[in-house]
Amino acid sequence: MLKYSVKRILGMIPLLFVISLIAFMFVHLIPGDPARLIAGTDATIEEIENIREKYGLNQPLYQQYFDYMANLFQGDLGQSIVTGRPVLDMLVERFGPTLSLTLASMAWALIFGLLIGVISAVKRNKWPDHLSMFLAVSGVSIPSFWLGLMMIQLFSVQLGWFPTGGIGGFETYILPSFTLGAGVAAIIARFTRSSLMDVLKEDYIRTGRSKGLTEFKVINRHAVRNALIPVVTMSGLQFGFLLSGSIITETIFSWPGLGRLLINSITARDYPVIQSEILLFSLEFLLINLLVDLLYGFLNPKIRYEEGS
Amino acid sequence: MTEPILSINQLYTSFRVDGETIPAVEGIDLSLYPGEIVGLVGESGSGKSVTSLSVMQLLDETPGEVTGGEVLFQGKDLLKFTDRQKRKVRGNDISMIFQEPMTSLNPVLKIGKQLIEAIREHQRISQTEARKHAVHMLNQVGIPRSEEIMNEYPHQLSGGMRQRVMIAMAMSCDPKVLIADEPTTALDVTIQAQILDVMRNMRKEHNTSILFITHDLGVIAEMCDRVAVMYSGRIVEQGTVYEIFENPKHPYTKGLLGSIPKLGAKEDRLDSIQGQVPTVEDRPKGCKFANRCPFVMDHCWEEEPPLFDGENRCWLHEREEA
Repeated sequence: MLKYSVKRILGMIPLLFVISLIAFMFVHLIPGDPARLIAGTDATIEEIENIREKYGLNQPLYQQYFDYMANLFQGDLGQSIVTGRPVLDMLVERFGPTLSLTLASMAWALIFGLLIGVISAVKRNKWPDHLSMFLAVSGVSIPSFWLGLMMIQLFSVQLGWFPTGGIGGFETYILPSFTLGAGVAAIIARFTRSSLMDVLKEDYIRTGRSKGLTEFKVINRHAVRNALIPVVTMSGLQFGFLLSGSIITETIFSWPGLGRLLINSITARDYPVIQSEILLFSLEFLLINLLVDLLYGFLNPKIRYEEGS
Repeated sequence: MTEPILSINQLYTSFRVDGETIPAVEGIDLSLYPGEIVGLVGESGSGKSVTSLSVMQLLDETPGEVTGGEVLFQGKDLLKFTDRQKRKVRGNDISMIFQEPMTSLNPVLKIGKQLIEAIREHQRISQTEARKHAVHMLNQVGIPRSEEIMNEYPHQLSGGMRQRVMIAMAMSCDPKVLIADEPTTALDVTIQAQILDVMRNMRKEHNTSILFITHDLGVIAEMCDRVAVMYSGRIVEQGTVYEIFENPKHPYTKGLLGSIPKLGAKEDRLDSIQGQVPTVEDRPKGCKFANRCPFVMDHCWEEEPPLFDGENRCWLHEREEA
């Protein structure tokens, strides 16, 4: 397994190289001139030129890319054009809040998603199923900006139970993580339901019943683990999305995470920050995919054995 | 004569598809005596498997429903049991093995775990004892390196090995009745013979009664004491293997036997029964075999024949009696 992981991680390097090139090109395709934005509307041409000079924006594009890559290999992500701070520091600072919010949201999503999915598959076409799927469809279709605002209105303004925003103790996590987790929970629930319903048709489920096992044991021991295999992939992807920071939820709840940093740096055309964030998100996705594949082997012995060959 | 261990009386089972009720089994009578192997033979769709699933009460997923009759196990009607009582019977008193050894074992659990689970569900013994018993059962069904197999996964075994594991699992609680639903259909012929051997040994050692479902008359001849022939959800003829093979009475049975290729005979084409099994909607009003029967008479279309002498369902036979 270690050998496999190392091989996969080495394989990521050329991929990240390509991603950095694409990210660099797309970022520079965004219309707008960062130098003008920083200098302000009444700046002289000379002032703007000075800023260009300082950040190397007057160099040809390929030169800028090579400089960027050369610095990158030395662990230097450059400096923010807007704040002048090292990008690495900014990312590290923002990564913590996003990671903790992601973990909290995934906890909600997995607990509710799996529970609702299993219940509705087992009680399919009965009222618990209809109720669960109503909740799941609602979860998918309610936009997070609306859900977030409604939660603030109810739980913060009316009831005063939780703060309206900002990061702090446990109570500050409840509303934003629920807002983020609701949609993911809904997706997991629907996936679990359909996957489990397929598994329940399998012959080995009938074998389990023919042994005289209770329905609980049949589902718990024989069905759920088999049903989880596709759910794991999907949850991994969702985890990756959340880890890139949610622009909307972080904005609504004034959460100092990567999502808000991204939207701010795009507005300010803060090239180094945007590029580094894209690179970071890609790296996150690649690592999560690796994690999902390893988890796969744990769930499915067939994959585990074929891996060696 | 001893009491039958399992007797199916006037069993009716139907399926509900899109609000419509489709009868699959219509009024079956069948008895199984201790230590006896009874074959249930018939074409696909004749209701063989549904009969076995009705006995096991495993129709929920299909989704079918027993609509009438009784299934007496040691004199008690299984159909009237509570869920809890049914579970105590399943795997303990009555076990089942299935047609598809490749998919009948859970792919993500080790063989040992699946065997021990079956044992400990019905017996109050420790994990270590259950494990010992599981290894013993694997040895009994002729699995080499049984200790190692306990720690392997189903995909590491061949089809024949998996079917042996299924038999070991089914026999692990020493059931009185084993229902084998086409256990050798998915296996190649040499493996088939080995599996039949294993089952015969099990019968000899445990005095288990076996209800053997198959469409293979060769297997019936080799395995069974008695045989019941099913057609369109009914038993059309039953008797000892000798009676059925030597002197079949029902035209359908004759047709089935006639379609077996004979050694040494020069035949360009194998004999076959004309036509196809009618779908439920197209079943004739009278005898269900009327549309394919070479001996069909006017009366056959009008009225369904009863089981004459409890043995065969054909108007021709009534004429002989009269």
